[in-house]
Amino acid sequence: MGKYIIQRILQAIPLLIIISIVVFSLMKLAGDPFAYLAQDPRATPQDRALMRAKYGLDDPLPVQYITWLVGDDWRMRDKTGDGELDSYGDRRGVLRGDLGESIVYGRTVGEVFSIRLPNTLILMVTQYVVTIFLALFIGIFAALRKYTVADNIITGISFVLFSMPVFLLALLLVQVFAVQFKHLGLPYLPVSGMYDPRGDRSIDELVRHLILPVASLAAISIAGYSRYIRATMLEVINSDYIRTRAPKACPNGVSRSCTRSRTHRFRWSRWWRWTCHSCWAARSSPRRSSAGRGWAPRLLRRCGGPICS
Amino acid sequence: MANAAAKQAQTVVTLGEREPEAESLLKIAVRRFFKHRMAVAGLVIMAAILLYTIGGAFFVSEEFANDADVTQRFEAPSAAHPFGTDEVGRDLLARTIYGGQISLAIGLISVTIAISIGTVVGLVSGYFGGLVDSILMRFVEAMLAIPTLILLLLLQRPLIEASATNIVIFGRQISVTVVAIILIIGLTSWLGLSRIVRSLVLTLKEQEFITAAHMLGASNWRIIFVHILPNCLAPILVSATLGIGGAIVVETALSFLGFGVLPPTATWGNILQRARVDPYEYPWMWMAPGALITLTVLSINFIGDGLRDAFDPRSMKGG
Repeated sequence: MGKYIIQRILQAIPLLIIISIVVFSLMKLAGDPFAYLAQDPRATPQDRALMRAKYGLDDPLPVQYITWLVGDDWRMRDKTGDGELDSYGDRRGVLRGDLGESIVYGRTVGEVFSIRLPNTLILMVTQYVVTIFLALFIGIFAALRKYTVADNIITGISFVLFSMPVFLLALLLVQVFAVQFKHLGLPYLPVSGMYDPRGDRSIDELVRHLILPVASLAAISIAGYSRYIRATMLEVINSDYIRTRAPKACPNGVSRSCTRSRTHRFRWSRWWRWTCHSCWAARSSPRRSSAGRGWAPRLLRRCGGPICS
Repeated sequence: MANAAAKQAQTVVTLGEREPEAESLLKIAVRRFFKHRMAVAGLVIMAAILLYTIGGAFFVSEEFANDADVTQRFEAPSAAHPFGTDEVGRDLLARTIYGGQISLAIGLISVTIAISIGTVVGLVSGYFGGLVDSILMRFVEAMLAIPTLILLLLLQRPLIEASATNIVIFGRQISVTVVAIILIIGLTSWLGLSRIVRSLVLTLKEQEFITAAHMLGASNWRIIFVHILPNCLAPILVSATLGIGGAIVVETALSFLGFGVLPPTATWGNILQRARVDPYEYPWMWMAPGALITLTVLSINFIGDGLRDAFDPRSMKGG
C-alpha cells in the first residue's frame, strides 16, 4: 500500500509540472498586465517599461516560468531595463511558498488569498455538505420507490434543475424569495453581502445571507448526484450480496414495509450503510466506473462482441 | 438409427428456416428510443424550439430584432412586445428568435469539433498505447485539472482580439466572436469523450475480429476507422447529444460573464447578460431567454437519456 501511494505521488509530479506550464502559458496569452497604464496620462512609456523590467516581464517565457517556480534570489537580474544586471532578485518562488505579488491589489498573492479563502470555504463547505446529505437522501428515496409518482416527480425536477444554468436558477430564486416576498410584505432574504451592514456580525445573519447562494449552488449538484446515487442504488440493490442479506434485514426483501418497521430499524441502518458505501466507492472512482463498470463496456460484453462489423 | 439421425437433421433444418431474421442492433435501438416516453417528449420540445427559431425568422426580420427604439426601453410584456423590450428598446421576441439560431448553431458546431477531436485522440491513444498513449492521456489529465471556466476566459481574449469584424453567413451579418466562441468551446470540451473512447478501444482491440483483421493484412488506420470506430459509435452519439446541451450552457455562462458573443449579434446568452442591468426590476429580460435555454437543454437531456437507454441492452424498459 505504502509503495502504491508513493508510486502514485511520483506519477503526479510530472502531471503537476505540465499543468503549471499550461496554466502559466495561458496566463501569458491573456496579455500585458500593465496594458492599463497606456490609458493613464500620468504614466509615461518609460514608466511602463520600468514596471515591466521590475517584474521580469521582458524575460523569455521559460525564464519567467523558472522565476515563478523557484524564485530568482539566486541569480543577478536586470531590474531597471537598461540591459545591465543590477542585483539579486527577491522572489523565492512557488515551491518555497512565495506566490508573488498581485499587481492589481498591491499586496502579496498569499495575503489576497487569505482574505478571500475563509469566505469561499464557508460557502463551498456548506454547499457540499447540503449537497451530500440531500442527494444521498433523495437518491436513495427515489431508488426505493422506483417508478412511483414520487420517483417520477423527483426525476422531473432533477431534469429541469440539471438543465438550468446556475445563474438562471439564482436569478429565479432571488426573484421569488427576495423581490416578490418583499413586494408581498413577507420576510425576505438578502441577495448580496455576508452580513447586514446595519446589523451585527452574528451567525444568524451569516446563515440568512447563505441561504440563497447555497440553495442555488446546491440545487443543481443535488439534481445530478441524486440521479447518480439512484442509478447506483438500483444496481447495488440487485447485486448478490444484498439479495442474500435482504431477507435477514427485511422479511419481504427490500420493501416499503421495511422502512416503517421499528423492529428492523437496526438492520435497516446496516443495509443502508452498505448501499451507501457502494455508492461512494463507485462515485470516488469515476475512472473505473467510466471504463470498466459503465454501460458501454457492459453493452459490448452483453452483445458478446462487435456491434456492426 | 440412420432414420433417427435423418429426422434430427430435418428438425434442425426446419428450425433454421422458421427462425426469424435477427434484428440489427440499430433497429432495436431505434424501436426502443421511440418507446421511451421522455425521449419522444424531448424530440417534440426540440422540434418546437427549432420551429420557433427557424420558422419565426420568416415572420420577423433581423433588422427588427436589432432595431433599437429608445422611446420603448424596458417595456414590460404587452401585445406589441410579447416578451417585452430590453434596455435600448429592442423587441425581445425577435431577439430570442435570432439569438436562438446562433445559440443552437454554437451548440451543434462546437460539439462537432469536440467530437471529432475527442474520438480521434481516444482511438489513437487506445489503439497505439505506449508512449503516444502516455503523452496524450497526461495532456488530457492536465487539461482536466484546469478549471474549465478559467481556460475559457484565458483562451477567449486572444481569439476575440484577433477577430474584431463581422462576417456574412447566409446573408446575415454575424459577429466573428461567434466563431471564436465555437472554437473555444469545441477545443476545450473533447477531453471526457477521448477518455471514454480510449477505454472502449482498449477492450475492443483485444477481441478476435481485430486479430483477424490484422491477419488479413489490414493497416492500422483501416482497423481503427473501419473496425473499431463503428463499435464506439453508440457512446459517441450519446455524448454528442448531451454535449450540445452542455455547449449551450457554456455559451450562456460565458456571455453572462460578458466574455461571450458581442452584440448586436444576439444569442440567448447575451440577452440574459443584458438583463444584468437590473434583473430584479425587469425580470422579463431574462425570463424568456432563460426559459428557452432551460427547455432546449432539457429536451436535449431527454433525448440523450433516451439514446443511452436505447443502446443499453441492460435496460429492458421499453424493450
